[in-house]
Parts: sequence; structure tokens; C-alpha cells
Amino acid sequence: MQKYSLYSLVRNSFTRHRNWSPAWINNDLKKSYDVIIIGGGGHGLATAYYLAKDHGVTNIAVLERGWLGGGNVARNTVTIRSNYLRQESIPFFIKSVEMYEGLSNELNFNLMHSRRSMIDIIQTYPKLREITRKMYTMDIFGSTYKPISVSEIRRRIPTLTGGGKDSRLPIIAGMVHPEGAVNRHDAVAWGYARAASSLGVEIHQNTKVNSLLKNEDGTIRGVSTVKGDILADRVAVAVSGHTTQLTDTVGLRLPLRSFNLSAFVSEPIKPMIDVVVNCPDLGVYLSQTAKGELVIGGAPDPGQSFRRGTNQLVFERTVGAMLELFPSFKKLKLLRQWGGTVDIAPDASPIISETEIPGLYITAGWWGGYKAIPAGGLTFANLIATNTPHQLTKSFTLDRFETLDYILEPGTTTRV
Amino acid sequence: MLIIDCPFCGPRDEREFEYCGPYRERRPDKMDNLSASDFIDYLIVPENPEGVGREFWWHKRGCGEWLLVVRDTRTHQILSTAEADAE
Amino acid sequence: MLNKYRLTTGGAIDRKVPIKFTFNGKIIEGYLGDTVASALLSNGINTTGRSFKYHRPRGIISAGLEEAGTFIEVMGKKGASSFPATMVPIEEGLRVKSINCWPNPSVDFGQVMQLISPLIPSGFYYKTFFQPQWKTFEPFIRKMAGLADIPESENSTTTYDSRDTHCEFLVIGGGVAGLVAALMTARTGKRVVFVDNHMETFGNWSLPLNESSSIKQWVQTLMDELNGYSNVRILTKTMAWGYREQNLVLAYETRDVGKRELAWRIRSRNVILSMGCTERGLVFPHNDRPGIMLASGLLNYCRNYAVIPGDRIILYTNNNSIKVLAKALLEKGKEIVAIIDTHEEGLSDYTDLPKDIAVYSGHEINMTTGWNRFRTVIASPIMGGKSITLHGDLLAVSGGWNPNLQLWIQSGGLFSYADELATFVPTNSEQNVIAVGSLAGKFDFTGEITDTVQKISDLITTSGLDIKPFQIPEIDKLQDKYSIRPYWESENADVGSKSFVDLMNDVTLADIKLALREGYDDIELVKRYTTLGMGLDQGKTGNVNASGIISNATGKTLDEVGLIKYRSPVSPVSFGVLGKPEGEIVKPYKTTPITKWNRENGAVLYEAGANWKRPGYYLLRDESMMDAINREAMAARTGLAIYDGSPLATFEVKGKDAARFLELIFTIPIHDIPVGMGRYGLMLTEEGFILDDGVCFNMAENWYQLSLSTGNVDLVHQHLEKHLQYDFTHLDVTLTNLTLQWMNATVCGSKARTFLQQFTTDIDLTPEAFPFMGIRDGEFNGIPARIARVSFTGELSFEINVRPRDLEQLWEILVQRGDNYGITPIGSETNHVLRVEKGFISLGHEVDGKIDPIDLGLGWVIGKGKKDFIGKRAIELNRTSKLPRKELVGLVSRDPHIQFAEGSPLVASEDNLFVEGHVTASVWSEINQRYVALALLDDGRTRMGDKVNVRNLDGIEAAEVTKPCYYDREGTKLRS
Repeated sequence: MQKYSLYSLVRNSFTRHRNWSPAWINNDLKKSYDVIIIGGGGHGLATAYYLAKDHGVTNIAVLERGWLGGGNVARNTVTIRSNYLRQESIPFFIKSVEMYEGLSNELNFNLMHSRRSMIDIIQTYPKLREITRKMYTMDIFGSTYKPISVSEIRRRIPTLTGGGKDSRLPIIAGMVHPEGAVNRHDAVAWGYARAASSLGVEIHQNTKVNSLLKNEDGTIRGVSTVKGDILADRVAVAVSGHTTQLTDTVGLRLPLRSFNLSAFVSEPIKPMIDVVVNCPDLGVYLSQTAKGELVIGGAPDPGQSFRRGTNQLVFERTVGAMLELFPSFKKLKLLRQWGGTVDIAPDASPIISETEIPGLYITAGWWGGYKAIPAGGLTFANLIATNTPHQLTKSFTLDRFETLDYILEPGTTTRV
Repeated sequence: MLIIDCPFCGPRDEREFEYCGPYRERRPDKMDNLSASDFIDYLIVPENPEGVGREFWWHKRGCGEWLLVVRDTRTHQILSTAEADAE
Repeated sequence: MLNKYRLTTGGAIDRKVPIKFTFNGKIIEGYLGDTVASALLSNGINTTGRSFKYHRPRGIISAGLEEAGTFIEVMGKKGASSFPATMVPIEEGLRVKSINCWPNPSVDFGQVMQLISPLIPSGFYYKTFFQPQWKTFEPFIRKMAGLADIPESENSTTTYDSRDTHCEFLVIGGGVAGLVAALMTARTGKRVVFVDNHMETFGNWSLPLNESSSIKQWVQTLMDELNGYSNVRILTKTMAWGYREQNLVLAYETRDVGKRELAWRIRSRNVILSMGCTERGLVFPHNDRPGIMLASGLLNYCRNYAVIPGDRIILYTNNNSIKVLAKALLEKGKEIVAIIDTHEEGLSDYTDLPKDIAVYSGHEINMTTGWNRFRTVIASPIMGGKSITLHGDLLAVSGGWNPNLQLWIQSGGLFSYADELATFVPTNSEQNVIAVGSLAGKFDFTGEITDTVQKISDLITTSGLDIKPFQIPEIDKLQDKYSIRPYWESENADVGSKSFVDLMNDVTLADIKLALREGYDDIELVKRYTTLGMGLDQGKTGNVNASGIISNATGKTLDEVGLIKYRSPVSPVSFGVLGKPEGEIVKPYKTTPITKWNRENGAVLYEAGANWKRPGYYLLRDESMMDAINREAMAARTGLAIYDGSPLATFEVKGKDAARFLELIFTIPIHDIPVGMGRYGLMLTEEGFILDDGVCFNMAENWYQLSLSTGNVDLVHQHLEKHLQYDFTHLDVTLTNLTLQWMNATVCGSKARTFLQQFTTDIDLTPEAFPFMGIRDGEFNGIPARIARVSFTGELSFEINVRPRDLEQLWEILVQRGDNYGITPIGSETNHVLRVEKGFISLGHEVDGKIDPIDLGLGWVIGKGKKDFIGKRAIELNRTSKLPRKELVGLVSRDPHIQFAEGSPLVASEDNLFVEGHVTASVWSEINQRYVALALLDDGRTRMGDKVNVRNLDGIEAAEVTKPCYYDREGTKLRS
């Protein structure tokens, strides 16, 4: 792997950058692999990387139906945090946040990881109660939540001028999560792809998997792709959003529903918000990118969807919520908007699990899965390599649904 | 933002309706007769088609009827709308 | 000199109305009808902006929405951010400034970026600045990024609004094809909406392949006829920016920038897109200097604004559309220095132009010079040969024409590459939408009109409407066959020079090549690696060139390469028109009829679920909140209190199967509730979640009333309807939500009965006649009332339900006559204390995840003999899990003055921080003179008397597990 550094950049500028080598290698597709990972997004690529790096499994093919990192890793709002409520969740997300912090150097790729702090704006008492409980529980595991006063919120976010005493939902409290961060989503996909490729992992774009293949004894046999059948004893599905489209092909039914979750950005403006602002009561959150754009997200659309569009009602509600707190943003402009497909389990917590089909593993149910990419990849790789769940994800297995042992994170569940 | 053609009120804006989840079978009369896995299937394993799917909408701010909407999840085109309990 | 480049005649401007405005603080004069761009050009202001990354000087490039050179911020009261200068009409007093430069575009300190530009190709930031860490560099990078600040909004006079409309035919784009489409559909008599993003310029056609005055006349007759139809709504200066499912089109009207902006949601059965095409630039070294314009832009300024911002003009093209510009310039007496045509034989017949115009066929530009203004070009034969140097002050380029596919693609439309047009044209869409005119790839006038008439006729016919014949005019001597030779990049350019593909985001040819070389070989990867097409202009003039360049480099066909996916919006739209803050109007509070009384009597009101605004407590004089709550709690415990319980949810269930239905809905048995009595129960979802708790009263045969909690009323209503209308349709039941029809005053405390017995009432209030959980209809002090003996406080309690109109009167008389008893109004905070003392559950506190009735110690609410109720199977299944149950317990500290914080986790030990529960509620109990708490604890009921560890931020506090009840454990008071 050609090393990236200021030095290499300067040196290459003398040859007008004509000598940079490809970030990843294009290989010919083989007939079989030790492991097939379906999905060349954040989780799929990270899983490949950790399989190769931590477990020495390098005969791996990552099969991507479109272009590298074109799924949810390209469609989220890059919010990274570990402010969860349940002890089943918190350590996992803490691990992921920690891993992100060292990842630029590990992957030798600048993810522009920016620890910004996340500030939760609280406008109702039930939410305050919930978030206080989170604070106490997070503290046990070393994730931080610090109450801040309303005036301190306004000092740190000067453009937050709404939510005053006489407004419909006055701001009553705030909570700072110093670990909150943002980074560059494309870089995460590309950084993992480049590092995995350098360890021998093959990445195949435009290789859509049409169906999974089973042996007569019920174990996994491989996959059927647009480029023909490819065999492997272990097949890992990392296609959050489209998981059931694959598992249905081998009669494996999963408790997942796919929704469209959309986001949008404003025109680039000079730096003005240096934290991630989350307003759970109104259902909007935002941060500002290094490029100056505000990235804004809200609630998922009602109804299942694979359209990757924007529901105008949901969008307008989100904009309205933003303007409620940031009235001056009415003068700003919407620059770009998009949607992505997420699949959500009944308890809205993730699934990293083996399945009833030996050799078939899934990572799915990611809603806010971007923050989970490093730890998700690490633990999924561990599961695939050892056939036992990683300590951090032992609660995220499929069998929890057999007895309805949900892991319920408040504020993330869809009850219909 | 959808227009849902309510069989009783005609085409109406999504704002009059509430989305009420994916289609599921009518509640079994004898729930106890289901095996555990059939019960889980009934309860939390919905259809999730990339294509034509069925879902419930309640015309809450209209006639109040419970509707079964057949909608393509790729295009959001609505193919039909009917009373949920129509045979 | 003012208006140095203004022609003396022509244009759609009014020379009698001069208008002054300021640009970067400098006063500029233009005329009514000018845009900021045309006024700047006419005054010879070349450098009007700076580029995003390298801060290179940029001028005005186009005359439309595709502008990639100059964006301005409108300042002052009408402040608006980032508009293309080409789209803002001038008016007296307008103040605008360039974005992304300081102090101004001519002397921009940011231009130091150009010095290091060799170091910062696309994606440079991925390769550096992370050692040791990004945060060292981030502040500097962030400062360089971003364009403008947020415009001031304090004294803004702009109003934002939105409108909905619907129609049979929506025509988008007011060119000649659009005009024909609008007129033909208008003649059907159906509703037509006609949208165009210009002010009043209908009937143009994008491609200037010919000029004919007879076309203009014909267009005028069409326009006159169209204006006569009352079924047509014409929206000018309105940009259609979004295309959603089910033919919902979103448009943004800015007829009056800064005064009023309007969002349109237009639902149309049929959408006709006639948005024409946009000229693309040519990719050659230093193609971005001020004074280098799109040919179409120059032609537009010449025709509509009477501005030609140069005297010695060079034209550069790979197609034949530029010839009309050449003729127009000559007609206005301008000098054309040369025409450079990339085709070896020339794409136009230039023989009818004056002989002194040098025509360089088969040539390409290798270099340009000029810092703040373009000065020379160096061109050479593409096949090799001697280069020539040409001097001029304006360079107009045309790289071909691209259909404006943005909305088409948003509609779900597909497209393919058309060789003869060297661009992408629409094919099929999943929605009811058609593309006509040059958008559909019909680039010649006659073809465009014929095609439009045919398609619209078909559309009208398939819609089952009558078609009126449409006469296609016979325009003489139109020789307007479009011809183009694809030319994606210069063949012989110096690789080190900057050939811009995306001027807005400073993406060069070398950047694209670098991306491809590094493996970012899909067009979407190229886009993300280089930021191509992601600027404010959304890549309208550059994206197709990028596809061509990638095709050249990779050997893929253009159909394989495709086009960068256009995303909504077509051009930026103000957030102000896109969303209304929720506020009191959209989400009004619900208030009870005694809100006025509450306010006058010291109530502190806030939202307490389901939009109800109600008293938390009542402050007397200089009391603290704690004092007030303690006072109110003691009044309830020792004397007499009154509580406004109006927000409680009320449902009425009637019909011969009402009991059967409720048996399924509730955990409790219903069939044996006697008439006039109620029973407390829980309502579960099928998944076993506790949805609500409340009392089910049997009012009479086949008639029940449910009194439920406030916060969940909408979910409960949905739940009941779902089962009634889908699962249990065989049952004869009617359900009515009466929440807003029944208001109540709840009188509680040991003196409640004695007090109420003083009033005239036909209801016997004695314990024998009216036991706990009873309900009675009658009159109370002359008011029709329904009184229920339920208690949320643990005290003897009468809930007097009345009509909303009667509550105020009832409340006032109770308070007035209760004075002798020390009657005390109490709020929801006090209510919370009282219920915690009793260990009564509250959904928002004690229900957490898969808590079931048994966990809460409410096993008795599950009817033992019940075969079925909703949620039964789920809780049974959940109870087969190996995980411990979280059970409701009480928690007390050794020191009565130590409070466990609500939400604190209970942990196994100091060393083992396994979370085995949490504190769900914790209050000061005035009657017990100590803090008391409720908690959910793993297997808690088997651990009575045990010590557990409450962990808060300071460490661990020991607590003793008790029964979750701190007052009147036997329940004698509430039954009294």
C-alpha cells in the first residue's frame, strides 16, 4: 500500500500526481472463497478488514451490487456517539467511538474525524427524565453525558435562538456528550476498502447477488450473482436495508422492515456550529461539515419503502422543527437531499448473528449504523471467524426474538 | 407525501391518514394453538417486499375507516385501497 | 463609464427607469428589467466572484439558473443567501455582495490558495492532515471552506408562505414547446398550471439555431390565446425544483426576491416537462477566466438586456449553435476576431459571414491568459501543427447542449446517450410524465413543435378528452439541423494547466483523471472523490462533460458511464418556504375550561402529555416549588384537595358484544363487572407491551366507559380501532372517543364525602350506596354529572365528570364552599408524589421495555380464567426467557434525607457494575418525612429487605428493598 502523508503528497506534486497507485486492486472473480461478504458498504468493508487483520482470513470477496460505499454509508448524517440507555448497547458503541478516533492513523486515510461534542436540547420533562437516566447508566461504562444550562447552550450555539420561554416547546435543559463526533463518510468506506485490499481482500463492484445458495444438508453453499455462482462455506450478509431480499431466497424469514430515512444539506456557509445539535423532542438533528454545509436529519418516513427518496411531509416537518430552534436558517438554502433504506428490527436494536442456516451470518437492523461501523465490523468478523458472538454483541443475536427479549432504546422505536 | 384514494371519501392527502403498520393476518381465534415460532412469525415477521406490498392506513381525520393499501415500495405508486376487512 | 457595454437599442429593459443598487459596497446603475448580472456586465465589472477552492477570479458565465461563476448574497432586510447573480432582478436600494472572497472579488486574500494548488488536487485531504491528528488542522480547513455567512434575519421583511394546488396538466418550462403544450392542454378546459423560472419570457427556444421574426409573431398569438383561458394558472419566476412520487411537483416562486417567497406543492394528473436544454462549456486550459462566457449567455444578454460585455470577441465551439450568436453580434456592430471550431471542416457554414472573421476549423484552445479579465487565447490544430495567438476581450464558448434532465430523473425517468446529439436524452419514466421539446432531444424548431403536438395530442386523447386541432406554422427557410462533434477535453493541453470541468467546485480535468487513476472509477465515485457537480449550480454545465471524459479514459460507452445522479433540488431553495415552525398554530396546546382560574390562582402550567397544558403545582405568594408540593400533598393526605383531571382519556364502548371486545382488550375479566362499578386493568399490545392502564366501568347493559391515562390517548385509540375494524369485525361494538367531552374535578381527601354531601345531589354518596370503584349518573348542585369513585392518590376520592361548559361553574363553587375545609387545588407534581407514596404505577416511569403486569405486582389484574386477551401469548412467551424479571419494588435509604436520583441504576456491587435495575421515581414524602422511591429490580420481589446499590455520579449509595407502598398499605383510606 502506497503510504499517504504530507510528505508523499508533496513528493507526488512534483510529478503532478501522476504516480499515485490505485487505492484498491481490481481482481478477477474466482469460483470460490473462504468467506463471501455481501455488501461493499461500511459494515461489509470493515468486516473484511478485521477478518483479514485480526483473524488472518484473507481469501475473502466483498461483493457490491453498485459502486463501493454507495449504500447507507454514503447516505447518513455521519453522527458518531455512544449515548445509549441499555447496558447491552453502551459498551458496544463506546468501543466503536474509540475505534473511530484512532482509525485515520490505522487505515492511513484521513477520515477527518472530528470530535465535536453532541448537545441534546431537551424540551419536555419525559425526555429530560429519559436522558437523565441515560446519563447515570452511561457513566458506569465511561461514556459521558453532562447537563448544561440553557444559557450555556445558547452561548455554545449562538444561532440557536428559538425555544425561548414563551415558545411552544421551551428549552428546559441540555446535555453534552463530549464523545459526539462527525467525520467523512466516503473516507470511511474508501479507507477500509484500501486497507482491506492491501491485506488481500478482493472487492468486486457491480456484482449484484441475486440469491443465496444452500447445500442439501442445509448449510450455506455460496451465492448466485449476476456474474455467476460463487461458492463459500461462510457467507456474511451486510446489506442493511435489503437483508430480507437476500435471506428470503433461502427461506429464512427475519423480523425486519425496510424504511426510507432521508437527510439534506444546506448550502456551504462559514463555520458557525461546532457541535452536533440534537433536538429529540422536535425530531431534528444537525451538524456542520468541514466544507461548511449543514447536514440535517429527521425521522424515517411512514410505511415501508425502498425508494430512497424524500417524503415531502416528513421533510417539511423536519425543516419546520429546525426553524423552530434556528429561525435565522430560514434565509439559508437547501442544497441537496437524499434518502437511504434502513431495515429495522422490532426493538430497533441491531442484529449481528448467526442464523438457522449454518455458515450464513447477518449484520442488519442498523438504524444509525454509521457510528457502529468499526465495532460492527470488528465483532461481525469475530463471529464469522470463530462462530461465537463477540462479548460486545452477545445480546444482539437473532435468538432474542424467540422469547421477545427486546433491547429497547427509547426514542428509536417505531411502534406501528 | 401520498394521495390515498379512500374508498369512502375519494382521493385524500396523506395528512388525513395515519400509517398503521404492515399487513398481517387477522388475529387467530385460538392464539394458544399456534406454535411459538408461528406466533413469532405472526407477530413480528412482516412482509418486506421490494415491490408491491400491503399495509394498513387509518383514515383518522376522515371517515375513520381502517384501510388496506397496496403500494409499490419502489415507486410508492398505490395500486389499490380497500376496507381492511373486505373479503 | 456607466453602462459602458449597453447597446443603445433593443433588449427587454426599460431605459427610462434607471435603478441604482450596490455591489460589494459600490453603487451600480442599471435599468428596470436588469438582473444583477446584466447590470454588472453592462458596467464592465468583470470579476464578480471567487471560486470555491482556489479562489480564482470568476466572472459571469451564463444568463440563467445554470450559472456557475457568480453567486451573490442579498443583504439587508430582504437578505437572502447564495443566489446566482443571473437570477436576481435589480431594484432601487438593493444591496448585494459576492460570496467566498474577502475583502472583495478583485483583491481576495483567499487567493493564496492558488499558490499551493499543486499540493491540493482532489482528495488531497484524505491523504494528509491526520498525522498526528486531524483536529490540529481542522480549524484552518474549516475556515477556508463555506461560502457566505447566514444573512442577517433580525429585521427581515421577507415573508415565506406555501400553497397547494392540483391540476390535470402541469407544464414546466415556458419555452416554445412548453407554450404549445400549455395552449393545447388549456383548450381542453381542464385545469392547467404553467410554470417557468423566468419573469416574462415565454416562447423562447433553448437552442439558437435560427432566427425568424415570423416565429416571434406566432408565439405572440399563442401567448395571447393562452392568457385568455381562465383555467390556466401561469406561475412566472417559479422554479420547479422537486419531483416526488405520485406526480407531486414542488416549485419555488421568487417573483419578489427578499419580499415574498412562496413554495408550491402542485399535484398533477399529468406532468409535461419542457424545460429545454442548457449549454455546456468546453474543457480547455484556463477556461474559467472572467470574460469567458457561454455563448448562450452572451446571446441572452445581447437580446434581452442589450448588453455585450466586450468589443473584440472570439467564439469557440464544437457545434453549430454558435452561428446565431455570431450573426447577432455582427448585427450589433461588434467585432468578431475569430471563430474556433473543433471540427476539421467546421460545423457550420461560415461562408456567409464577413470575410475578415478568421475561422479556425479543426482547432482547439490550448491556453488562455488574463488575470482579472480574459485577454488572449493560444489555439492549435487538433491534429497537430502551428499554434496561433488571438487577442480579444470576450470569449464565448459552446460545448453542446444538454437536456435539463434534473426533474425527469427525479420523477424516476430513465435516459440514454444519443450519439447524434452527444448528450443524454429521456427514455421512460415510472410516473405520468412526458418530456417534450428540446428536453426530449428535439433540437430543431420544426421537429420540436411537431413532436410536442404529437405527444400532447396523444396525452389528451388517452386522458379521454377532446382534442382541438393545432396548426403547426410553416416557417420558411428554417435550416436548423443541429450538428455537433463530441469534444470532451482538449487533446494537446499541458497537463499542468487547469482545465475546469466544474467551475463552481473547482474540479479540473486532472482531478477526474487522478480519481480514475486511483481506482475511483464509477462516475459516482468520481463525483464524491472530486466533489464534481456538488456545488450550488448542481453541475448543470459540467456534468455531461465529466461523463464524456470518463468514457474517454475508461473505454466504457457513455451509457455505461451514465450521468451523475441529479438530486433534489434542481437549484437551491430557501428553508423559509420549506417548513413552518411548529409553534402554537400547528401544534396548539389543549387547555381545560378552568385554565383562566388556574392562571389567576398561581398555577404553574406546562405540558403534561398529549399537548395538554395543565398545572404542575400552585404557588402561593413567595413559596418555593417544593413548599407548594408539600403543602398540596399534606392537604390531600390530611384534609381536602381538588384536582383538575379533565385531560384523562375517556372512551365509550357500546353494543351487544362490548364486553366480549373489552375482554380481549383488557387483562382483567370484564363480564363480571357489575353495572355501576368499574375495575382497574391494563391494556397490552399484542407484543406484550403495556399500552395503557385505567378503569373500565360498566355503565349499563352493553355499555362501558373507559377512563384511561392522558398521554397515550392517540395510540390507544388507534389500537382499539385496529382490533375493532380488522380483527374483531364480527363483534357488534361501537367505539367513541369522549376525551374532550368529559371534563372533571376530582375531590379527594378524608373529608371529601362530608364536604360533597353539603351539595344538592340526587346521588347517594354514602359508602354503602356508592362504594369504591363505583360510578353514578345524576345531578350535582344542579349540574348533570357522572361521579366515579376512583383514586390515583390513595385517598377517598370522587371524580366529578361534567360537560366542558359546566366545569368552571362546578370548580368555582367547590373551591368557594370548600374554603372552610381548607380545600386545596393540587397539580400534577403533587399527584405524582401521592401516587409514588401509594406505589401506583405511572406509564412514563414504571413501564420500561418488556415490563409486564406481573412484574409490576399487578398479577391480580390478569383474569385467572381468561383464555385470551391481547398480549397474553406474548407475555407468556417472554416469561419463558432465561433473563431475570425486572420487578417493581420500593427503595429506602437509611438516612431519610438522602434522595436517590430518578433514573439511577442499581448495580450488583461496587466491583461489579452490572446493572440490575433502576430508580423509576423518587420523591420527598411529606407525610412520612422522608424520601421514598420506586424501582425496577431484577427479581426484586424475592429480595425484600435486601440491600442494593444505587449508583449515581458520585458513587454508590446503599438502599433497602421494600414493598412499593409507603402509605396506607391496606388501602382502607381509598375504600372508606
